Amino acid sequence: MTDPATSAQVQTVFDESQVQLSRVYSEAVLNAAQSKGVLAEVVDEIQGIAALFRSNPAFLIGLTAGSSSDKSDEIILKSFSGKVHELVLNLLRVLNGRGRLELIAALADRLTTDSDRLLGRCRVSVTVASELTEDQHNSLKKQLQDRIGLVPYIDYVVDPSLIGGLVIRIGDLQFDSSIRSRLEQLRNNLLQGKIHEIQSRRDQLHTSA
Amino acid sequence: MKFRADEISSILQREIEQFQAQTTRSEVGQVVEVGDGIARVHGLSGVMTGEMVTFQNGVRGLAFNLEESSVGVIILGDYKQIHEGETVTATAQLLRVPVGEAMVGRVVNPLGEPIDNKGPIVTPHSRLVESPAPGIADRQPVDEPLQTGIKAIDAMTPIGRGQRELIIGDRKTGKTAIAIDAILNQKGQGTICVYVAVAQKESTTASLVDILTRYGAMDYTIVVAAGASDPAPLQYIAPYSGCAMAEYFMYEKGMPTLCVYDDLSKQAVAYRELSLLLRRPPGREAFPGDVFYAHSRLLERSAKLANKYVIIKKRSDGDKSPIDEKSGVNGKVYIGVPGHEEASHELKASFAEGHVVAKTDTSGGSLTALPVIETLEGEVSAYIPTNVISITDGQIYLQPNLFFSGVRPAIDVGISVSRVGGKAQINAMKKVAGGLRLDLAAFRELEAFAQLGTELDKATQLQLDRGYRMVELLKQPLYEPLNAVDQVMVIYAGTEGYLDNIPVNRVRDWEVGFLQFVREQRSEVRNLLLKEQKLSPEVLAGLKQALEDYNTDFTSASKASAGTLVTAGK
Repeated sequence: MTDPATSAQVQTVFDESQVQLSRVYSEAVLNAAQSKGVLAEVVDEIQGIAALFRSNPAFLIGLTAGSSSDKSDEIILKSFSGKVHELVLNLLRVLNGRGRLELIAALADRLTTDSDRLLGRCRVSVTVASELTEDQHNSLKKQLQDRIGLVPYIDYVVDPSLIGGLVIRIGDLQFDSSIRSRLEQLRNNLLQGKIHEIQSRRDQLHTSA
Repeated sequence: MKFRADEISSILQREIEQFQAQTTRSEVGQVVEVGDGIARVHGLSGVMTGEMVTFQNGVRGLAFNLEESSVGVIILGDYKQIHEGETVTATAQLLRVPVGEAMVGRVVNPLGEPIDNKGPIVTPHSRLVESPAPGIADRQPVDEPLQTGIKAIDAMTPIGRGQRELIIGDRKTGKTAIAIDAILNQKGQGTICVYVAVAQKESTTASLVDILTRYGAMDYTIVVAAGASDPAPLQYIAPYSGCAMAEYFMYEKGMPTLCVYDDLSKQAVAYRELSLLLRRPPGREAFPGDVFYAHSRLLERSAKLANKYVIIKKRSDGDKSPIDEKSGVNGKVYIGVPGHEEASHELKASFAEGHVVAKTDTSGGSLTALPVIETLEGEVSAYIPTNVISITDGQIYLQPNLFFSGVRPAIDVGISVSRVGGKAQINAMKKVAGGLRLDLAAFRELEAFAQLGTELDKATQLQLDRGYRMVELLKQPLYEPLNAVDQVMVIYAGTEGYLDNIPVNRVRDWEVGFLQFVREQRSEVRNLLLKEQKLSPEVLAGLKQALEDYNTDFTSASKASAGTLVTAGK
């Protein structure tokens, strides 16, 4: 039985074993969904359920900390039957049967990455100083698509401390062309110059002495 | 000198105008977990082991554990300022520390940042903290002495330049004192010293710096300090940083250097802490499996680099132009001892008069290591002591019972050894100290036997008496290192029986007086010994004469003072 307090933390705490497990489940779900031709639909629904569990942690706790898996199974059938694709319902029942329901959040994340790869999509996080206009958004989207060769799904984050420019993050790569980082570079350059100036003046003093 | 405002603003203007900002491309990850000097980072999928990463607040870290979906990073700074979710950026660089002449005389942390309030260190040079040890071809046998100025060490467990000699003993047995004496004795020898304080109390380090400053040793010393309150990652990298700072002088300047790691048992403990926090499997005494490698790769970096020779035209005495590998008239460089022979042979065979074999300026540097290990209750068979004993070229073992009975330095002659240093002793010392170690070991055995109260024959009693005097002679006060020739003279007096008639409690007075006597009245003998470094018949004759003369003076003066005491008593 999982401690309720721990289950509530699942969404924030990075658990390596969960990441590894979700990889296995993700592969199975993707293969099943692809063979039935319902990949996008299934992924969307699983993401929705993960979001539901995230916003109602008590629901997940109720399911996982319940008296038996049979009872939880009944609740799952009652809550989701007919509302989600059969494959998703079966997934939930399998997860419940194996006591792995709390894996759903990690699985949803993993599925997103894996299905993006299969569908030729790419998640891009863009930090901007102020919200972009529609034109700017389209132009950015087009440029990104040209560069990376995949359809970009852009997540915008507004951070006024950037002053201007963009910070684009694709996976673990970050491209920073913000005014803030340029000012930082300029500051470092000036400091370096100053240090060299001090050094050369000091050397001159030493040699003249 | 006045600064002109327009001068500064024009420089700034030029800088700003010429500034070209570039879009930075970097690999990033997110802090998932942080604590106790360790961070776990999600992302950074292309990071390499040992690569430097920077946290959002500028603190640096090292990628230590590469796992399937996270990276274990050791944090080289204040980990309390790092929070979950912050961005970590890979730098595609390995950790470097500033090195160079500007570091000498400074107290720095393991990252090379000054902590002595003497302003920033500006140096154009830097070296990798972790760098491979020189290979076989780059080295040559240890054959030059590194004088510690301590009689018991220079006579019985001599240290050569490029050697690794372990100083081992319980707490408070004078381990650091030996290392400090060795540093003090390098004054005027052209040696650069690096003292690495690992997990020491800040007060201890401060008083040590004070001693080094007072005796003028900071002129050639760098102190690298990772205090007891610093995080474990800094304590762990401190010896490697100190080594890198010394390596600069060895590789780039061809200078002899001395590195004291005080102490490696604390570094091992810091490494154990890191490893356990990173969930590496614990082994014996909970140390990780590669703790041996942590010490062996550090101590392997000590070396005596091979001299490189070139054949050049004979130079006038005043000519101080640098000799480098391109200076050779035939374009050839001869390496090491065989190289020297080859060069001499070639010089004779194919070069006209007026050519000489000369050593290049930047070759032949050395790094001598004095690692320190603290034992618990004299337990040398614990994990870390046995490891380091097996890595080093000998050890100086300090005994608490000797220390408390007043024998200081408290070196246990029986189990202290130097595996290569013997070759590095000066000729005169080799002669006088040849049998000293065995004699003293025999004396210790005899002493135990004599305590039983058995009546002893005359020869045994004589051996015992001489032993007492030798032990007394080998005692040495703190921070008073002796020149090698002074050591030779007093040890000669002891082994040849010139002290047999001196009361044991007056041996110290005798020694001080004798050295003063030689320096003031028989300086020609001392100077000859200094020049020749061996006991030639002239030196021996002069020394014997000096000893006899001084002994006559000393005995009569003692009698006179005893007489005065008796009269005063009446």
